[in-house]
Amino acid sequence: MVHPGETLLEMLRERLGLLGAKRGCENGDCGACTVLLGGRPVKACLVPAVEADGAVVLTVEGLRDERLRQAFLEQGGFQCGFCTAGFLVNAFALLQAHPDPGDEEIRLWLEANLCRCTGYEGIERAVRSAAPGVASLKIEVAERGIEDEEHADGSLDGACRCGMGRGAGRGDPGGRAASR
Amino acid sequence: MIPGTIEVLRPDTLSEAASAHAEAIGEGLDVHFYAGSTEILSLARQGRIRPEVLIDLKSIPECREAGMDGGELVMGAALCLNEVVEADLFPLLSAAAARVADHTVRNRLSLGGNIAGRLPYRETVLPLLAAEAEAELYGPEGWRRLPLRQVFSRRLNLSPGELLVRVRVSAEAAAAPWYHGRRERGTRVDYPLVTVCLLEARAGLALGISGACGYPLGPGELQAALEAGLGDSANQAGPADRARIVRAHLGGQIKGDFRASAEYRGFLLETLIREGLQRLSPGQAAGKTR
Repeated sequence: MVHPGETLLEMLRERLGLLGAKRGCENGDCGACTVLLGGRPVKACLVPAVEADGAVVLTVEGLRDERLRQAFLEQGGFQCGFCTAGFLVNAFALLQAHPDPGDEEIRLWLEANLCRCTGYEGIERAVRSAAPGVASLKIEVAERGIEDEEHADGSLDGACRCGMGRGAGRGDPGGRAASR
Repeated sequence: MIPGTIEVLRPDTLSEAASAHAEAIGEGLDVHFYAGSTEILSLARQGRIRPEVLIDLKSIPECREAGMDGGELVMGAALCLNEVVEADLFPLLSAAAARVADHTVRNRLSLGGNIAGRLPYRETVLPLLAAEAEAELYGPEGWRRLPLRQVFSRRLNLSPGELLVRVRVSAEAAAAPWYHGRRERGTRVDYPLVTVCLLEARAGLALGISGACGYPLGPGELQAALEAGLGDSANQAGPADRARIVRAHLGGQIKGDFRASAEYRGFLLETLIREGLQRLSPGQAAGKTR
């Protein structure tokens, strides 16, 4: 059960032990907390946790063995690594939507993420080099249902199908309001 | 996290939403309609609001419509800005929406939230005002449908308990030639110093601006200035003169702050209006700038 005032970022990190999405600015500016919600990249610090009810949330942990990660390694797409999880998730979403993006498309999507280390060129090279193959690969995604008040331990890995129907919102089963 | 006791409701109908809102008001609770939640979370973190009831509008079908209805374009207030862009039913609106914040945040920012929010830019309202859009509202008294300009003057002014459900634009206006220009201090995702929208509406060129003043301004406030200098064809002022007249008309309303001086904002405003008028001159290709 989550507190209705929790953000998706807080739920992922503190309740589910998924530490890939980072606390950066917590104001929707830096993108270090980027995850996919319903297939779209969002900044988890700006999403109420209750909105994950019944949704599929893909975190960076769900991109294991992904060619994109290898491209970041090979192209020097990171230094300290703090922003990298957010870039990986956003870049993955970009390549799902645009398997062969142009430079402008890459910049349009990735301007949602800040990096203080690399100067962005290595990141852009990584996305370009990963482009021809990412869309055709399967993602190894570990799905785990969350039942009632049972929470994952720290070893939870991969995406989370958040069965948050019970307890989402105060006294409101399923997070949906009947006529009050 | 938003501290305190909060209830999040997700009604399936407008009447449920209105009833929930009324009940919360009756209990003396701080209640907010929302779709994207970005502004609510930001303001709550800053302690500027203390919401006790949040009513999520995204499950209400009327708030999520996007399409044509009897020769009119209909867009729900709970559509996120990327959905507005991807539908591309009104190119000027798509251009304006595509420049608000960044691509990821636009997956959360809603059309209605951008129009009704507290941030002073409200850039997506500019194309709608220029196109003489109609607003469909729902509240305790039921539906209201009226010109958007009647409920928007610098900000959206609704009756208590009312919410913006959707907007309607004629297909003709949505397809009209247009111009969109925006300048920021730093990167493209910054707040605008100046945004200019021009639409070749049926009645003539319609201008909307944001960023230059502390509030967006639409054709109602700017038309007289825009058309000043339009005499007979021999005396018609050119784009440069007309842009200068609009800037002079705004005068002290053009703001200066830590992002830019009033002088610089005025310069940008005049530049973009001139450019827009030039682009919409006969024989020129219309469309957006960078």
